[in-house]
Amino acid sequence: MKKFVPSNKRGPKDGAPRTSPRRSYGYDGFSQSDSQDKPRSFGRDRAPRSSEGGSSGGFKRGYNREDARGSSGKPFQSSSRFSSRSGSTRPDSRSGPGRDARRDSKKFGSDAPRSDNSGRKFSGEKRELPRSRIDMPFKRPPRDDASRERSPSRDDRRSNERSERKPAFSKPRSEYSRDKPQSRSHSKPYGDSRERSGSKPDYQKSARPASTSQQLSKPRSGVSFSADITPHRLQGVFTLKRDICTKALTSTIVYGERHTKGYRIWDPKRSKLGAAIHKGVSQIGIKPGATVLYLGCSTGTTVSHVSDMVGELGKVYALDVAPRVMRDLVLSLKDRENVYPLMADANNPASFAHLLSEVDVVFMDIAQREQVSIFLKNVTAFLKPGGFGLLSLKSRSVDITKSPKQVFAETRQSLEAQVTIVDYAELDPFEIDHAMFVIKKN
Amino acid sequence: MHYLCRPLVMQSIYKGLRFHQSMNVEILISQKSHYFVDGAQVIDKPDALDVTLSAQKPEDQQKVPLTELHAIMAIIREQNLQQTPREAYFSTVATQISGSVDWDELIIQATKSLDEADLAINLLSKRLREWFEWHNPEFSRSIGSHEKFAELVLVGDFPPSAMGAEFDDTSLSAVKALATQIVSVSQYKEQTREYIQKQMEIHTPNFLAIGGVAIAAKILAASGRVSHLAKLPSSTIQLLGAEKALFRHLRSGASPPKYGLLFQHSLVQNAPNSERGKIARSLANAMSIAIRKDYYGNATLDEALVTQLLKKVRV
Repeated sequence: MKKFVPSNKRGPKDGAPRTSPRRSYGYDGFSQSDSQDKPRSFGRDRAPRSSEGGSSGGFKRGYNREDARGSSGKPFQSSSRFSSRSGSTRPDSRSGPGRDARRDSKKFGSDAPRSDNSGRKFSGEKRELPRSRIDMPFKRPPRDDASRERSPSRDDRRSNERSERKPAFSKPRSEYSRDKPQSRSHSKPYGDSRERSGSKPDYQKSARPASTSQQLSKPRSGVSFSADITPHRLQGVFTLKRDICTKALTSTIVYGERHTKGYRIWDPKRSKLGAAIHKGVSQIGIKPGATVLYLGCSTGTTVSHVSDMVGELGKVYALDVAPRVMRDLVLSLKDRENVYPLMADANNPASFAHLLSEVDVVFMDIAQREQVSIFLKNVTAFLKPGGFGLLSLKSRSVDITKSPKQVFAETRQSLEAQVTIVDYAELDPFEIDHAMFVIKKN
Repeated sequence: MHYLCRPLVMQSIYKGLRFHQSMNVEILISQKSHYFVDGAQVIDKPDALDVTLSAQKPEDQQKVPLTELHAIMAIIREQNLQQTPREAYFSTVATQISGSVDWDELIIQATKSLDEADLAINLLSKRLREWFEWHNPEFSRSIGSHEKFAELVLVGDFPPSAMGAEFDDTSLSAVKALATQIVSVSQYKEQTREYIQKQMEIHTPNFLAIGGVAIAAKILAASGRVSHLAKLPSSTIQLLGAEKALFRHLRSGASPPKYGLLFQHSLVQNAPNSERGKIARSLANAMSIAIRKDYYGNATLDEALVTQLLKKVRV
């Protein structure tokens, strides 16, 4: 069977001659190499031109798809509960060790032997030892500037924000107080204090001295100063070191979350919205004063953070169909004045339309096969024009047999027919095979 | 404010309808399709219905065609919503939650509690035997059943032991306190089993008659809800409890399982190995018919089902 060869692997035989050196990047950014750590001897690897791209030709490579399957040629023993229905022999590398890496690497790591004999010298390079898939930590491939612009990662954002924002203790307090009184942005939820005026004080322009900051803002054990909490790009969200948090509306702990000084830390592993914010989604529409329809609220972990964000002036209509989880939601979120529980079927908006008015944001986290159509129904019914919709898509619920990328692409198509997609984030590593679509109603 | 028809999904509130804020609008839609507005009956024509919005001042009254009814209802709904206190949402949800639980959920809770009681007895008995064997190991080894052993420890009548140590009174009563707990849990098990039996006799007598209390309860627990169980095909009922083997068969072509929870049934246990699969299948068929008879019909015991099944397996 002819193996599929990704386009960046094809040699002169298959397609246009390549101008850049053929390097396959694994998900850690290192070039993949063979099992022996020796410079590549071109003559040895030179496969005959007629060979197919994907065959390993006797040259054992650890990351080849076929090798991952094992030489016995038996179908891959998937451990997923939801694997294909009838004994499928489809060679699918959807599960097993390293599957995240295989799926995520843009330039797929299958090391087709370099059958293009373009004469490039690889012999002088030292190839790095491959680490086994199992112990390789997850790292994203290096980002180009365009993608950094579109959605800055957490690290980028932190550095951007630190340089933009007035650092809290970069100079002695006495001097600080003499400056023009600028409002502490994290104490004003409604003002957009992120818009800085053009002129910055001198101390902002220079780099913040690391030693000073460490000295002054060194936390005592177990306590972090609120000065460490800085506003996030999104209104209502705050950053505390590597975490995001929201200002607590009530003093009760909802799901055992960490908290400090009146801010509740948002766990991205337990919240899809938190994961999307960590992944750098640029706009979500949930902000102080907004009315949010939350479909699939369950016991209320994310709802509590949304309720924090929208504040006292906002509203969160928390909807779920199961009585067991609504029970927990009612008991834990009763003291939050801006949460309105609804026990109804999201698939039937008419059944609860009399309990709602138009909303600013529709957030949906319901894992059903028809989740896209449910989302669009509710967006049509309840979202005001210009409002935001947030769809947390679980590709395995939509179709277990298709690859996540395929499902995401199809979802994109069906969404674009009715609404405008303004942002998109895949929620790895917090939720595998999930994506967040941010749409705006026309 | 009453609706007879279900309010439709809101289109757009603002359809160019002139609506004075001072108006106090009530629309009462009765079964006669008359539209009462503040008690005033309006014209009822077969082809067109007009709705009059009354207001405090007569000059503010408007006649609005029926096509605007959606818009009016939307505006009224909006006003109504603003007047709805937050407590109303909670009371609605509370009513829904309280009405959502039924007898099958209670049976399932009792069944799961039985399994956990078994674990508890095992855990406590391990410690009891460990502790007691310093006093009389031969006796502990002679009694196989945990529950019986605990009872006999409490009674205190056991033959002397050659390698056992002397326990003073306080130490003996300490051991007996643990034995008391084990006996209490086994009594609880008995009680719960009776509860499940009684409940199933009331609600699912046929299913109980064919499966027996232990298996019927376990299958009900495995399916989650009786409404779901009644819809299951008999092949699923046959294999409930054998999911690991089933998916292994589906994925890798291993041989399929023949029984799941039904393996523990006396009919299957007493049959020769070659017949067990067929008996499990017949049993599952009978069980699915029985649960449907109970759930969708009136839950009265039908002896014919049991005799039919026994005849089929030629007992």
